[in-house]
Amino acid sequence: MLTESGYHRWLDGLMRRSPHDQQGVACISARRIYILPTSTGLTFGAMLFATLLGSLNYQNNLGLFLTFLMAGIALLSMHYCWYNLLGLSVRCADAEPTFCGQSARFRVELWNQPGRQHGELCLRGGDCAAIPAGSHTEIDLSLTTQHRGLMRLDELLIETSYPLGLFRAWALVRTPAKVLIYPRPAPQAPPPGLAIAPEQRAKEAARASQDLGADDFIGSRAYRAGDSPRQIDWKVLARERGLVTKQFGGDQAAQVQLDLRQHRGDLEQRLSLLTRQVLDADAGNRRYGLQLGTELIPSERGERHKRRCLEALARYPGDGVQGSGLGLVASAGSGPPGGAV
Amino acid sequence: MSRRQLRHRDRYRNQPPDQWQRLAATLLLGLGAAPLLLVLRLQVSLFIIGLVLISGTAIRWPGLQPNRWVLIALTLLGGLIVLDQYHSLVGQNAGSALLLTMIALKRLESRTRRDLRILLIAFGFLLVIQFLFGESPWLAAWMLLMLVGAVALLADLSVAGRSGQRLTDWRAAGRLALILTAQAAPLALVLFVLFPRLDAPLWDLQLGDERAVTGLKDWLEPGSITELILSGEDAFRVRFDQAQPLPQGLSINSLYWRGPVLWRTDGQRWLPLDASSAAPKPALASTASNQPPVDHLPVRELLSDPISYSVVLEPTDQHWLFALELPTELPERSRLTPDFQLLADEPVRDLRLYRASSVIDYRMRRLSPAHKQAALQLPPNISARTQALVADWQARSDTAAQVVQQALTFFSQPPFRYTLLPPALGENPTDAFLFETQAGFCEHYASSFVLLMRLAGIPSRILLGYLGGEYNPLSDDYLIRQSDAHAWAEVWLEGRGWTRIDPTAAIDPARVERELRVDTLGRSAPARFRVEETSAIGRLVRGARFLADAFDSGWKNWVLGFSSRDQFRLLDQFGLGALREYGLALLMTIAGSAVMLGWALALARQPRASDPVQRCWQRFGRRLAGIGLGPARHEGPLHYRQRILSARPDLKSSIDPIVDTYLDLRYRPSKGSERPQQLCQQVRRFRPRQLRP
Repeated sequence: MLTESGYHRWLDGLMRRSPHDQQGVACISARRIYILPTSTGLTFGAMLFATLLGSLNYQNNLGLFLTFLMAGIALLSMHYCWYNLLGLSVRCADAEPTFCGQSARFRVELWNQPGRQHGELCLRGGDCAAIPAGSHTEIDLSLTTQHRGLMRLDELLIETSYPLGLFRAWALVRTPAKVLIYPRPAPQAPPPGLAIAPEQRAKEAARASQDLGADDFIGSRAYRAGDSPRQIDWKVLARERGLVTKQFGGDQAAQVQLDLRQHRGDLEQRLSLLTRQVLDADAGNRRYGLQLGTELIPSERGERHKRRCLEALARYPGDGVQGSGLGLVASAGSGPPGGAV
Repeated sequence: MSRRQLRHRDRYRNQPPDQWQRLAATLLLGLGAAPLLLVLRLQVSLFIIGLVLISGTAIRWPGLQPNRWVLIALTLLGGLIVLDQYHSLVGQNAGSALLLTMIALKRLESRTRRDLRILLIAFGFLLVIQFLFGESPWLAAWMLLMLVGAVALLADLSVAGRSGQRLTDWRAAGRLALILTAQAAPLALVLFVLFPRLDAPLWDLQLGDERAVTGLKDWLEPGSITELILSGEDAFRVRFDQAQPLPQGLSINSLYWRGPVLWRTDGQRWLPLDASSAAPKPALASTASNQPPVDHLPVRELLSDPISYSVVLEPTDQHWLFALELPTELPERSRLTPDFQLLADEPVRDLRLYRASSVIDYRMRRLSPAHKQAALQLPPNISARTQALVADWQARSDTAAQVVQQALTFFSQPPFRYTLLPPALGENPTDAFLFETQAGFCEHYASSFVLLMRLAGIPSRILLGYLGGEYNPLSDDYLIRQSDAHAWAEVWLEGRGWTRIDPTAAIDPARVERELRVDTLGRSAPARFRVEETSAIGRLVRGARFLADAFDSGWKNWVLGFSSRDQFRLLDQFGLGALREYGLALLMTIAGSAVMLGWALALARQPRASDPVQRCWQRFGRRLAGIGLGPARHEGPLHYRQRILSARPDLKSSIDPIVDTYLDLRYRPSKGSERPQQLCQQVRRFRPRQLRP
């Protein structure tokens, strides 16, 4: 019986994926490069065949020589194309956490150990760049995210059609790079429930009014006819999340407690609402706590706290989390047509 | 595949070309098609030039870009123009015109990089096609330049760049194209030399028929040779196997290259024995039969040793292969007719190389009755004074040879003179020439002489061919030009057989008019300088001309005329002659693989840093990579040392001095005490070993 990791190794070998070492650096070796002619290359070949037949038939030596020269250039470009991937070292760093629906940006670093020059290399789903002699290059890979949770990039596809576009070589590279995807924030969320008892409210309110004033933002709700245009969240509208009215809660909202149980609906929806509330609370510079099932994050404020809350939301067990990022890889293009399958 | 991926692939392969790429494609098309435009009909060329100009200006002013309907209309118009001019859409000229029109339209229509790539591929086809119209080294060089340009543009088109923001780097693309072409050249050469050739075409579209070819025709009438002499183009080149000078006291000026033999005449025009030379004639010998051809000839004895020579014949569209007197060893695919014409099986549509051997001096057995009758045929328009002249000669001589001598003496006397621009002769050219104008050149002398001999009952015929030539000491061959075309006579003398008589040679050289005009009239002939050879300039001019001729000769021999025969000769030198085509394929595979191995080695070679410090530092990194501690690109030397030492603290004593020296050399040059050699020495001594667990 194959173990799971053994199976993956076997599959990697079959697909000729380049493994990576502890530092996350993968090196493309000779046996892991695929190469096929492009459609341009095939057309070029057909043209060469026609000129070869014609020149042979009419015993035109100059035509024959030019045909052979063009064939030589095409064959040589195949060698160039293959060598353009050989010996390439690839490392992809973890991407910054991002909200679901936004794109995760990975930075892929490419270099060659002896400092050889490389023609243009492209990342499937990303940009293209060349490597000057003795230097290295970085290519951004922006991927649209579809599920919250910790997503692994798993593999990169590096391709090149250098130098003439007649051949295309590509290689699959294993990468440990991952990205944490926060839940998609809901367009708006109701004002959170308060975390403190009513008798304490007056004390808090007095303190809060000194600290923050009476016009603190506490949340937002869908626009209703009659709302003042001043209270419409224009930024949200600009982000195409619909008309949303900002709500200001005066002095009573200095500290809030967010809880998954406050919301109804399916889990992902509730997490979305919570995410929006976390963002709103953070934007209002208030102290907030988060209760996620059994996990409790005590009241706090600030950037680190926000990250911690969002991370907890992202990792909260649910339907979308179990998959180890296959959805993401699929959207990034898991394999070239015909080659890897 | 998701739509996202499609969009991505699209961007990567098919973003719109920038205006420099479009400009380059237009320029390339215009320059590459220029030689063809000169050959095509004017209307077609003008239409194509118009299309190229529109596509050029539309780059600057996009408003001029025609829309789809205009393009369809232009396509139809282009096809109609070609059809109108050539009455066909296939064949060499019409097909090329149509192809070029369509390529120009494709350029006008190109919107994406993919379009331009397809255009460039069609352009490659166009480059090859142009060699059907000309095979000069200049054209070849021009096409090669165009190919490099096309490769550069193809390289530039394949660069996608970072999200559209890229600068067209022409120098890089041009350098890449030059390198690719130069590196591909050895493989092209190997394939060119060793790729098996077809001996006979697979199909024949009669491509050569539309080409006008200068050369001898198989008939003679007043003025037909003047045209040739004025054309001044090359006819063929000869190289003799024997060392120079020619054997048996011969010189190039006494070698008559026999072409068509003319027997029948109507008083104006002379024709060969059969209605058409293309009709199959009984062959005395052909290369199809294995026996030595000489046994089949009606020849009594051969009086001299055969002379062997090889000829590079320019295309004539005719069957004749020019040879000296009696060919005893025939070229491939040829035959010998009873009147000793050497005929190729196929008309010579392309440059043809052949070898032959000839015997200059021989005696024949007898004249067949049919030939005798043909050799005595007379036209109806013989004037009385002509008959009187011949009767006078016959009365004064006993043998046929004496009559011949009388005639030659007659021509050698004044007022006969030699001129290439004779006066018009009218209805009865022979009579008018003999008694009125008395000025003419070889065709007049030869035809009059043959008529006079026939009147005297001596079988005779006219020979067309070439006499003379120019020796080129650099290429060691003779160049025979069209201006060396000549007509002479052969008479049948009992006991000797056919004997060559050249009545033109009888004229006193003092009465040969060398019109300067004639010498310099050749359309494409090299100007013939008549400079004193002793002067320095004269020698220089001659030398330059010989050099150009030698180059031309080499080009024709080794490039245009390279054939399967040369391949097999080469194969023999490798001792693989018995394998024939398989030997070629074997040799081609070996040599081709060797070239490709060379490419792989050249590509795999790691670049040496030009800086010695960098080179030795790289070697240091390689040594450490051997134990799994290669440098990472993002590490500076200090971090690298840290990483090494954390993995292998035991190496501290040997690594520290190396890193320190490197740091001194690189970052503390003011210290001045360190030298690159020191670093290299340290690195050389540094041999890290794997730790054994």
